[in-house]
Amino acid sequence: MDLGLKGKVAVVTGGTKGIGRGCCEALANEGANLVINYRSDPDGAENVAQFIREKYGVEVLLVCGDASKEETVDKIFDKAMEKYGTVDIVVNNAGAGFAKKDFENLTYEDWISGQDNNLNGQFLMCHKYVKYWKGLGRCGHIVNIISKACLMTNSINNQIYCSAKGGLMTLTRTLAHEVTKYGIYVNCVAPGYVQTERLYQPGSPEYERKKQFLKTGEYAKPRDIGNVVTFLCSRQARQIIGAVVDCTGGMLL
Amino acid sequence: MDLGLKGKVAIITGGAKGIGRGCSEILAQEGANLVINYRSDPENAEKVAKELRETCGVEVITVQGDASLPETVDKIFDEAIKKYGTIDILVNNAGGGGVKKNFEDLTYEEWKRVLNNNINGQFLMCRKMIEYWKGLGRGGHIVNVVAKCCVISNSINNQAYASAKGALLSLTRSLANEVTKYGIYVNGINPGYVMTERVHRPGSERYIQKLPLLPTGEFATPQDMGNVVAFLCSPQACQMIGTVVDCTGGTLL
Repeated sequence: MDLGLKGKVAVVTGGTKGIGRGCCEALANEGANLVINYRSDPDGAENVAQFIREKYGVEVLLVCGDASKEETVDKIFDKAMEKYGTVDIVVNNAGAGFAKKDFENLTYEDWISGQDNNLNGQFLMCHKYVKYWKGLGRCGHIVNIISKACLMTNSINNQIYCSAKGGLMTLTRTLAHEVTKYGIYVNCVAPGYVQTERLYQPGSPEYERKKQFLKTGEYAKPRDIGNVVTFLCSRQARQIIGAVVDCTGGMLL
Repeated sequence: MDLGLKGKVAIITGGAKGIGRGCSEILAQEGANLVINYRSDPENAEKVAKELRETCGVEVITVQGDASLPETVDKIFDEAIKKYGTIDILVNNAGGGGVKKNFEDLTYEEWKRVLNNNINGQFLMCRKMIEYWKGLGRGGHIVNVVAKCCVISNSINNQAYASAKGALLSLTRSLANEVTKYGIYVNGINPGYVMTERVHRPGSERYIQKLPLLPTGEFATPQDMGNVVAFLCSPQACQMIGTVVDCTGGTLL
């Protein structure tokens, strides 16, 4: 199935690690050129960029910065436009878990910081993109990475993260409602238990404990999520609009 | 994106017209060999089969019969095995025949007939496939075609059809929960306003009436649905389990 992404330009926030990297590789495999935002570890980022260039033969631009900050969002777009002259796809992947505490021990600063990382930065990216794209009369795509945590309540002491991701899910739907008529497709993906550098390292107690809950008996790979994100950015998915795509491996059943 | 469907065997109930035909076309384009069930119009079914054999270079057999009847389900299965020796994919697409009446005027016979067409036949097909796959200790894919009317209630005087599709949606989820551990993937799609011979024929009164309600300004095509169905049958969608993908073109927002 030719998804028609050859030569398209995709921005992936938090794209050098975990799910973000899975999205980058899946998009690159379809021939999309990338703008990869990352926050830390420039050497690691450079290695990933070089690996993707060599393996998939696409162009890759790295942009360092915290994607929850307005200046980073501006920088991402400016650099992307400077290099490619367009941005066709935005994958709002960057986000951050949060120190788990009993609700009454959370500070207002904790709450605001969780929102900055998981909702406000995504708002800024969407805002910038819609402003740029509206009126171009072409087809553009936004995919937001949400979390199963906003659909089920078993993530204990995690109110900040869950609430922010819930906000992002709703932003996806309401924004889709507003901008579909301009050719902007907005969808979101809910990943389940994905094995990343940060989470579920094989052999760790957490890995073994969670494994027993997995319907398939296996963790998701970042690329599994990336493949769905990539499909959503294709013409083939043009009837999927404002959808919350359950990629939790059956965890919501 | 190579969906890995080359040489797979797919059954599509009601696969010679409308959404079913769209599924047949896309699966054939991805290299799957087909078993197309149809109820009436053998001439059309033969024409579709011939066209797909010629354009896609795949094998296609057609099996006549009402997919809601146990004898048809057996016949589809037997002929598929006789021809190909295996079955990898089932698309439960056949359905329809809703009776639009005020609720108090709906007879019990009508209610049962609509349920037969839209949930009982699907139950029989699923059961046959699960029995077959489990018996061999191998996996497979089922995609059920549900309907937006089981998610929104704006389809007036349509209780029987909406209820049957609601049951199919729940069957999709609960069956996925039961059989995922055997490598059997069960998912669904929720089509929106699809341009088909039967429902939204261009120029028809219903077509003209519905067009302004569509966020994209266009009806979905049967092929749009087929693209999502094909993706769901691929290893790329391995984290989509018991998922009913909203393909309503934003009409649920």
